[in-house]
Amino acid sequence: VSDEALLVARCLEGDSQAIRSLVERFQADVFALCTRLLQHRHDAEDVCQEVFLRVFRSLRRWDGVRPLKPWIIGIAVNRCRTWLGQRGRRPELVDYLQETAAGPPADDSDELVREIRASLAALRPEYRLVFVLFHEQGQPYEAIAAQLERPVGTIKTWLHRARLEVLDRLRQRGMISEVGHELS
Amino acid sequence: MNCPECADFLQRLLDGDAAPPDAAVQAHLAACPVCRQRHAAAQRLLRALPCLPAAAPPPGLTGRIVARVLLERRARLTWRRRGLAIAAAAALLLAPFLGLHWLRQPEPSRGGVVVVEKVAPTPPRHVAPEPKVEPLRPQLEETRVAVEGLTGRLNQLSKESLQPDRLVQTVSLPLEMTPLDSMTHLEPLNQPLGAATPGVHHAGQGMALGARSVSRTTQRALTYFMRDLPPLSAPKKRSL
Repeated sequence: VSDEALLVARCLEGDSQAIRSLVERFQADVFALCTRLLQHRHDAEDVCQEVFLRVFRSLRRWDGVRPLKPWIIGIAVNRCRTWLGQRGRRPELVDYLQETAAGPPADDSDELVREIRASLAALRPEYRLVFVLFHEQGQPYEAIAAQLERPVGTIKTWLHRARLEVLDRLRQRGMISEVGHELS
Repeated sequence: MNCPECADFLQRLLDGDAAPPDAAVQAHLAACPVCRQRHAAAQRLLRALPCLPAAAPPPGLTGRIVARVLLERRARLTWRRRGLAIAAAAALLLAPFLGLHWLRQPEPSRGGVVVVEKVAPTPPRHVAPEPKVEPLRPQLEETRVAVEGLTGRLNQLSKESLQPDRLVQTVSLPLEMTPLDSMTHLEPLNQPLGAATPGVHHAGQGMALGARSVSRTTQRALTYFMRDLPPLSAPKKRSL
């Protein structure tokens, strides 16, 4: 029995320490994903709580043979998509990027990070979702396609367009140094 | 090479499985400033992505999540226990009505069978055997044991929480009155009872059917109930 299966078994028995341990193990990933997808810290916190409530509600349905993290990330992605769909019908919210972007950049790398963040925020939600799942969560095309219930070809197309938009924004904002450009 | 082909190369580069640019790619990059800049941006992006800082969870988030999870879990368990207790009580109350319902059903006429045989004599039809009804006594015994277990557990819980539970008494009463002990001394009748035999037989079947449904419902309730209970431990002394 794996370490995760033991932890889940203890959670199902109602062991509060195990519940805390499971939350602590995965909350950073879930919160980072929610923040990236929703672009809003308070929304991300609300969704993060919802995600873990759903995780513990359906913990009995987890397949003990598979790793726990992709299963939890799948629930987080679904909650974020639902939240984004509902938010589209609500008034515009304050972008968290405006809250965090203050002061001049410390150096070029800070500015690059800020530009990447801004270009991700400007993407369509499904493009951003695919970009984050591939580049930040390290999920392969097939897993993303299964999670979003779309063909692999569609996922590749979305990621292709997302990357081009990000690259073009970096190019237009001067985030390249052609002097040191090497063909590797 | 043209720009779309160069874009495909950039995609493979960002996928992490691109071979080093060949002569055709290098020639295109040298000639096309847009693709050259995209290539430079892709290289910077590749280097920056692993360093992209992730948003850190706010302090206290873990505690808030755990508190909500535990609260919801407690509420769910409470409602499930109440529901199971109500289901067990309802099953016990319904048992006599089920038995009566069985008794009032008309006896199937044998003429109907004959008509069916006349209409379709070939191929020979297989008349389904009458479903076997389990004897009454084991069903009652099984029910009694299941309900005793359930009510005993409820009693123990109510003692631990220092709350008298009237429902437990209500549930256990009907089965305490079942004449199981006296039934062990019954001797089988050797004399024919004539016309009364089918009636007695149907009464027995009705009681067995009612008891069987009660037994299964109670067993299922008991199983779910025991599964969700926390492990037993000695009651803690209350501090003032």
